[in-house]
Amino acid sequence: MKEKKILFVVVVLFLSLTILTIPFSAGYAKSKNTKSIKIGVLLPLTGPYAMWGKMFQNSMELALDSVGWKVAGKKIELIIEDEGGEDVSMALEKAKKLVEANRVGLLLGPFYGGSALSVMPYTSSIPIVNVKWSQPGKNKNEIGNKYGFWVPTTYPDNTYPLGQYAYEEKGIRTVTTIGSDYDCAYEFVEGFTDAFKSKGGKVIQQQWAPLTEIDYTPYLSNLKMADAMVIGTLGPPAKLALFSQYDQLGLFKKMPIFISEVGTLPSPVMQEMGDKIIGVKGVEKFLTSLKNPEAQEFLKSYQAKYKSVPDDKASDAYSGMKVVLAALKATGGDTDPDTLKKALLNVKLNLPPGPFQFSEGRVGMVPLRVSEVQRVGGKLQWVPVKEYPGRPPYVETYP
Amino acid sequence: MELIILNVLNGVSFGAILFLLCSGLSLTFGVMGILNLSHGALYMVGAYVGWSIAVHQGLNFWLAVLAGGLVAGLLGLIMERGFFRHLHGMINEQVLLTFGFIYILTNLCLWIWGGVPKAPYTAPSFSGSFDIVGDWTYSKARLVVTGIGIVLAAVLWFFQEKTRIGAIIRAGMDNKEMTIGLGINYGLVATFVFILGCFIAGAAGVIGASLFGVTLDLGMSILLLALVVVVVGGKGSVQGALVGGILIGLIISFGKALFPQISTFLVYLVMIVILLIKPSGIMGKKVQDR
Amino acid sequence: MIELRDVHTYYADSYILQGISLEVKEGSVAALLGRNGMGKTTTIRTIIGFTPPREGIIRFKEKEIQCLKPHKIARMGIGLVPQGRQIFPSLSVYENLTMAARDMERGDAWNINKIYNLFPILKTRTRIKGTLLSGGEQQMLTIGRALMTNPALLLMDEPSEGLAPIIVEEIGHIIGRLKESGISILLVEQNISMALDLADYVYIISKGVIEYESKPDDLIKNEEIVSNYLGVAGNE
Repeated sequence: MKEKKILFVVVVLFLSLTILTIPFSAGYAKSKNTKSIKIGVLLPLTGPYAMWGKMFQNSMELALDSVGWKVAGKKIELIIEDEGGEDVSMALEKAKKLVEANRVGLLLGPFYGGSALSVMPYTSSIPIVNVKWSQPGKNKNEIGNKYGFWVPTTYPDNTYPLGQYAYEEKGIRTVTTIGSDYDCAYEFVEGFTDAFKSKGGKVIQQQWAPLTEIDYTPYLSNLKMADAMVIGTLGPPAKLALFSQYDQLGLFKKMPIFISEVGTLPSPVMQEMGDKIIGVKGVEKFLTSLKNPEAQEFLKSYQAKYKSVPDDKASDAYSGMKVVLAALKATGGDTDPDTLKKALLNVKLNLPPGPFQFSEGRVGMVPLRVSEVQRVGGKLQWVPVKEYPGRPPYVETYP
Repeated sequence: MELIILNVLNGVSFGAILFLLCSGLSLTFGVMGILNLSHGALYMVGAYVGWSIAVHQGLNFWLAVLAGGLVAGLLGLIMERGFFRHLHGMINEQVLLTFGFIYILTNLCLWIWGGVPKAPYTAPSFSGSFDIVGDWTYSKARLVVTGIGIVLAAVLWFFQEKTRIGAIIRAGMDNKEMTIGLGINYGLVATFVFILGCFIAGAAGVIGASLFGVTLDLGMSILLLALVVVVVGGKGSVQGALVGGILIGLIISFGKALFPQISTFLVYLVMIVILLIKPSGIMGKKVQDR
Repeated sequence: MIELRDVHTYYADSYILQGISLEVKEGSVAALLGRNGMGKTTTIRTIIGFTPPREGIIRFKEKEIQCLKPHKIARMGIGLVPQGRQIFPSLSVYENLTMAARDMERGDAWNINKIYNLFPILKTRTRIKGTLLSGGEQQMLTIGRALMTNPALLLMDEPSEGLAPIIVEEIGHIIGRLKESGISILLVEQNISMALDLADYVYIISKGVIEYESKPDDLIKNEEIVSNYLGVAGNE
């Protein structure tokens, strides 16, 4: 009787242990011997960012087309899931589904910063490489996401060259800043002011407005006159309102503007704003006016296949996939996280924005272009005026 | 001193937009007893329609104002005839339905006008600025908006206080049953007022767009401030919407200038204080339950 | 003028009018008497359509009106002088009078000047809010407001309620003048003496049923009915 009971307990224990270990052995380690490589992708296919989701899918497929959807003799299987929009928990559910049900070898995405934050504790807890398109904050590593890679650089690093440029090239000595009262806007402004102050510039005033603010006139009425104004607001709606209120107060003539991201002023919106925004300066990695062969090829093949123009974010998706393919080629298709991580850190490629490499902290380094709004061929466009080479995030070496 | 003048101008012009939005909301709330949560969405629809007329077609700005109002009014007619008149006294259903209309209208706008926000637009003669005190210049559009707000306030005040239909509307808010008992087809009056309110919302959208442009989240974001104005000013009266709108406009404007950290909170603080002191709002009258 | 035939009215589940039949002849005053809570006000509300009957027929000017909406019933020529007066507090005296005015084409129709002639005190108060008037003035305003709709029939629900005796007397005079002008009146009253002075015919209602009807003179003689159904109210 007693033996039987013990035997039963042992069997149950053994069975449950086996069941518990199956996902780990099958999901994370076995991929070495499979014939295809499964890549899980999280994209916003619905919700407010849906327009980018489609663009991302296009760009990735374009990168895959160039290698015939094969690397190291293995077929590449892309499993795309919708990360949704404002409901960030959806991205987490889909990430779990990709990892646990689809057994993907590596994970790309999500796109939206909020979704990235909701997914990160999960991806940090499992051994899987996660290449992201979301831009990281300067404290990106505080959650311990050791297999996480970021294609774009950090928020403050994005604007750092702009602060240098303003001081060195334009003789700006004082600035006033307006930003959204929101984490990444703070960091965008901080990048500018850190660079600016390190040269000897003075920040005489900083104002922060709620994220959804549409009436900036009170802030503008309160403005202290400086050599330039730095704007760290986020979305196009905020910029549109701010710019036209800036114009209505006649300020364009008095203070030049530096903005954090070129991408928040999309072409159709620029055309609508008109000539008053000529001379506004911003900074970005990829611009459609770049002349290097990689950018030209990306632009041409994208336009040929999809009949539309890709933006900086689309180039992130393209770059990300190119980098992943190069790393997979180096590992012979192995997605073991430590092997793949090593390979990714060794990747050096010429991509549409220029020479690409990950920093030690796994953040993408590409040249950044300070650009200016100009009228070219009847259309308002961002034209690069000075290029800053890619370098490791200054915040990685920050005291 | 300059700063005070500028902030007063800012506050009053923002208040004028709030007034334009809330006069309709407050009237329909008072007359129909229905709190139309999609009122802000109608404002947004008006702004988009106005954009199509003024920017896309390049037609006259005032025509855009009219068109924005008409489309919103038409939507109001459909809502009222099709839905609201079947929901008298059913508070939960009203809230859910009018809230649902926000999503429907927002998605319609996304479908028609796309996700890219529209830049502020106005009549060519109102764009730009002119010099005022000292080194400062001020926005023409904001002064025009203030002017429109004052004119509309006067017109609506006259309509509500000095005309027979205005008297009927006030009588209905005092005592709906007695008004009907005197032979007045109050349902028709309420429909008329509802459509008028929606018309004003749509027209206000176009006028507001000359300062703020138009985006898809406007329907929701502007609603919250509108509700605060109605609570502060008191429902059912033009004067209430005006006083509430200007007061909230000034608080927001001075708040942003003087205490930017708590400016958003300040608005709600004022609302709470007024609710404690005078629950029916500054100019509010007690509206009969029905 | 108006005729109710076996009218049954409910407030939700409570059965209030349990088969009322009564009639107001053209140009006459019919009084509906009874204690509080017996169904007098409900009768008025049933006629105007606020609480439509579940059964029975109401005929006004030879047309059945029990299925019509209240505002349509009123527009057929019924003027309402409700219990508690129900002046609109947001409206001035002038607006209270004119907001519902209609049918003023006839030569002998009521208009604002005639109302001011009838109630000279109102003319001096024309701009102030209706609810700032005294009780008697408010009652005059209510009557004036109903007259401005130029009704053929007036439904008056306790016009003497809460008024000083001297004012009641004045209101009584006015009702008498209205009757002389040819308006039919259904008068609901607790003030028996005033009602009996004015009425051509009297109904007594109790617990939703007409218990007694006669000419006023016959009622005065019938002390048993007076004490049973009207109680002390008759002596007030």
